[in-house]
Amino acid sequence: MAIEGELVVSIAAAAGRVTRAEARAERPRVAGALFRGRRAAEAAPLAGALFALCGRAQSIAAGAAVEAARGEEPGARRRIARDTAIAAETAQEHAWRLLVDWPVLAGLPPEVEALAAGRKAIAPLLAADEGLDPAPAARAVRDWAEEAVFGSRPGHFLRLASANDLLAWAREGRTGVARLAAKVLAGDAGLGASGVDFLPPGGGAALARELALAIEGDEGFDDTPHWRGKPRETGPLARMAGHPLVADALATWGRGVGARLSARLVETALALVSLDTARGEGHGHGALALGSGSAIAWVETARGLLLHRAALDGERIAAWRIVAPTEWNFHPEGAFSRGALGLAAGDAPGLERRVRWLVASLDPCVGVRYEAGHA
Amino acid sequence: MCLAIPAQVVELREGDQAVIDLAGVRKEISLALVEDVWPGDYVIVHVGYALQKLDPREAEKTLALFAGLAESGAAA
Repeated sequence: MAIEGELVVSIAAAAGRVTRAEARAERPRVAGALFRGRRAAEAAPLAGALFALCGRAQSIAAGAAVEAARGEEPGARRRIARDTAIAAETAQEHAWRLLVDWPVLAGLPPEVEALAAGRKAIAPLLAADEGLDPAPAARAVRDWAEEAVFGSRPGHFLRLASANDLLAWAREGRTGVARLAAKVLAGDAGLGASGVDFLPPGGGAALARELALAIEGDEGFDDTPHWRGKPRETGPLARMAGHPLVADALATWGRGVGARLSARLVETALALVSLDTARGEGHGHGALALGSGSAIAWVETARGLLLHRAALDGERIAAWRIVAPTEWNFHPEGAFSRGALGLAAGDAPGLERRVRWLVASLDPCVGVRYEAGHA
Repeated sequence: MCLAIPAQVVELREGDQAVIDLAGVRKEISLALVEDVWPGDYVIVHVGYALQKLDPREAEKTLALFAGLAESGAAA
């Protein structure tokens, strides 16, 4: 296994169709062992240092969990600074998919320089603390995105209201991302559609309370999370399903690659618009005290819902659990496995390409190893 | 969650490429997303790209954490 973690995807086909699709996240389970026994104040910096991709989200979740466990309420300024950082990290992660990973999959040139410029513009907002005025950096990021991603102001992109509007925008091809969308939507829009339902977006404290109970009663929950007994899809598509463009993409193409691409574009634009208008109202993150020094915190990260469940014993950490979005989407009966069932197998390279697209549309937070087998 | 294991830059190559050492394994990666990285520096790597340059003291602390885990068998 890759030391930093890896998703092993294995596919079996018979009679021209995929009959079995499994994804195993092979990665060291370290949270419990690394957090236990440390001082509570160490949790947030430790989470930020341990996890490469969503370090801000991880450290916000850990910090919020400790606050709630101690019965503390973060002030409005802290909540706003956190929402700003979460939106910035989401935009940064989506930009990587749109500018580098997905063009490579589609056989288009990756836009590494554009991504590097975007990451540089976003960096001050990731570091946002309570004293920062996000407006100047937010303007710079929107200018960058106009040129590198949308070909217009992000707010203007958000006026697109249907799958046809999106196709027209894509065909105009003003940016590499638009040309990517044109290529993907022309060939693979319906790829991998699954019947797996979404985790309710913006579920907030009520959802967190329900999930905290489920975590409590199930040692294996962190590996195979579920809501009300069923696996769910989490991430941009689940969150953006109510936006007119994404709702129409869902109606047109189902819960697959095309709708997930649409949702990422819409969410990127929304994140950029909200960078300096965050009001800390608890849509992006929050925490709930569970009594006796325990708490659960949630963050809506780029890839979906992240949960940190903390139990303190005085100033020491007695137990810590993390449930990450990749485990929801790559659950044995989740959006990936269900979406891959029945895919046309065709020739081996074609099947690998289709499966890799489905995996990428769900954006796992680790590298992917593909294994083809026989039914 | 992708673990952020610090990797040390061993050698710079042409075209923004570099060889890194990640827990004893050498790999070629791209430095296109980071600036001002030199041999001996620590970086966080994800799918072939260095994401971030690390403060060397922080990197050594994180490496010590992972080493402690490996010894205790907790990371198995």
